[in-house]
Amino acid sequence: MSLRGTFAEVSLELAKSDPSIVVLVGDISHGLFTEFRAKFPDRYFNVGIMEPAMASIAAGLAMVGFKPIVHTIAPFLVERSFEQLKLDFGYQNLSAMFVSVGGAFDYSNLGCTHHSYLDIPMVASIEGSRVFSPVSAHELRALMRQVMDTWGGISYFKLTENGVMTYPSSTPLEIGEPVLVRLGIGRIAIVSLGPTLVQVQDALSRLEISYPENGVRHVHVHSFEPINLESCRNLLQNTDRVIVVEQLNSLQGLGSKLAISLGLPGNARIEGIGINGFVRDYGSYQDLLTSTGLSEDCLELALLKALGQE
Amino acid sequence: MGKTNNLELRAEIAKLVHASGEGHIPSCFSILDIVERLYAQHINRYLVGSSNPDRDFFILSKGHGALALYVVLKKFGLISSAELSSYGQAGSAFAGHPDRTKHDVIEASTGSLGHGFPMAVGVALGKQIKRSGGRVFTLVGDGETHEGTIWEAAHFAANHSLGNLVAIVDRNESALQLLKRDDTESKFKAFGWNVLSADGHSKKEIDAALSSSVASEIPTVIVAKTIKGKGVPFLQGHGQWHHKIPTDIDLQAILRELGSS
Repeated sequence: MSLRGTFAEVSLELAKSDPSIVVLVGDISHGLFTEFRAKFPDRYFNVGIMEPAMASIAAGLAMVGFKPIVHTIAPFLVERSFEQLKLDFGYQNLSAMFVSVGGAFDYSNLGCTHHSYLDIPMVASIEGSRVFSPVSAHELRALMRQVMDTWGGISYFKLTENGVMTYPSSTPLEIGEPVLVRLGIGRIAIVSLGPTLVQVQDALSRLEISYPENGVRHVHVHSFEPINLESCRNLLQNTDRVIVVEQLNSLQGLGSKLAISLGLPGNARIEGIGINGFVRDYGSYQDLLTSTGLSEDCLELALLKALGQE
Repeated sequence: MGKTNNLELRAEIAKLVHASGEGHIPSCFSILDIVERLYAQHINRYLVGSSNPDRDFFILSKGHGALALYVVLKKFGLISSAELSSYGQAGSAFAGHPDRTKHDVIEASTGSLGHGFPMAVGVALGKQIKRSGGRVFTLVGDGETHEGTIWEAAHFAANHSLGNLVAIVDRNESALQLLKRDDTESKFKAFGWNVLSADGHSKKEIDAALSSSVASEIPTVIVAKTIKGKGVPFLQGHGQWHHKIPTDIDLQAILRELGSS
């Protein structure tokens, strides 16, 4: 099932026990919400193509006690409607769950208008917000439920349609906690954020063949904000080079955030592989990952270089 | 448009702007009589600031008219004289734009135009879902209707038959000085709203329009003809006084025009 499908399924499950949940969609995913609409016709609205007003209408609903879940394509939900998120929710201390569809290049061939690699840091800049980049149904389900159990402020879920993988459902997940995916004993660690987990795992699988002694540690992050820095330090201890991989703007992403706030000891350094400037090209998802240095091939090469094996 | 009502409230606004160095006097004078009638006769004041689901809401979308709201709240005992006197001071709940996080009687934080109206639509929708009582009033500037969110939300409100929603357009010709088409009524009509008109400085006409909107099963807009700076001729219009702070001499002149001291 796609992450969007899981999102619709979890929304329905939550709405059955919580009559304050209202779903607003901007003319997208309505096919996935057929059952929700049938069961709760008073609590489902396909608002139409009016993203900023949709956000403000959600704020009005929050004023009278509802828990709005607001959903549309990422750049329109966040970049177009940022002032509504900032003022109507952040400034007013109102709460809603915003769920977007569209990773950086999920709509690769639709061009710049549909690419999205600024949204996560934008939402995270709003005081009190919680920002998630799930890559699996397991993550999405667990985090959505935890957000509902600790309702407050903006929660933002950026869903991706490319590279969705089956995450081990036995892995315990908690808001803000990074996950150790691979315990390497070397000095190099790689940190994946959200959907880059797929390319990082592929690159590490290849590295096992090309350089079996690599010893690279892999830590995965699903929560951009909050993130438990102490847990990050513990998981990254005894490494002296941390490579953060993210489908976000490099200057505002997780690499920059960790470089500023993590405070690794000694000469340890953090570097990021992310997106620089605008990506104006068309092409497949894979084409754009390659051109931005985020494909599994590129990541394998980057790791070999870091290991002195290029 | 005849005599000026609410002279004392106007004088209070001018004095507070003078003392604090913040405020939009002409905009406040433009909407004051409408806000006064809302709280005098159409909003259940006993439920303001409560969590009662049947309470009325008033969202001042035109946030820079905040002082008109504050003096009316004080007139009806919803905030104290001391609270109003703190206007513009550090630590006060009241300054140039309303902030709902600072006082229960303020329903929405506004200031950036085009936000309050769609939030009011959301509140009206919430009441419709819950089948709760009370009406939702919002006041927008006519210049504010240039914002796209007004029309996005107006379209939604009509499609969902939000008869519990009343928008009042402060038609003080701020819009007309910028873009010359004078078609606010026909636009709202085309969007499927119940459209009424009133003299925004006439108690009788404001009350009549607000009362007649109760029966509407679709959202109502009252296009209220007003004068920016109403009551003080040299403040009127769209010139330098929009956000000007009166000097001591200016204040005395304003108070003289208002018959105050």
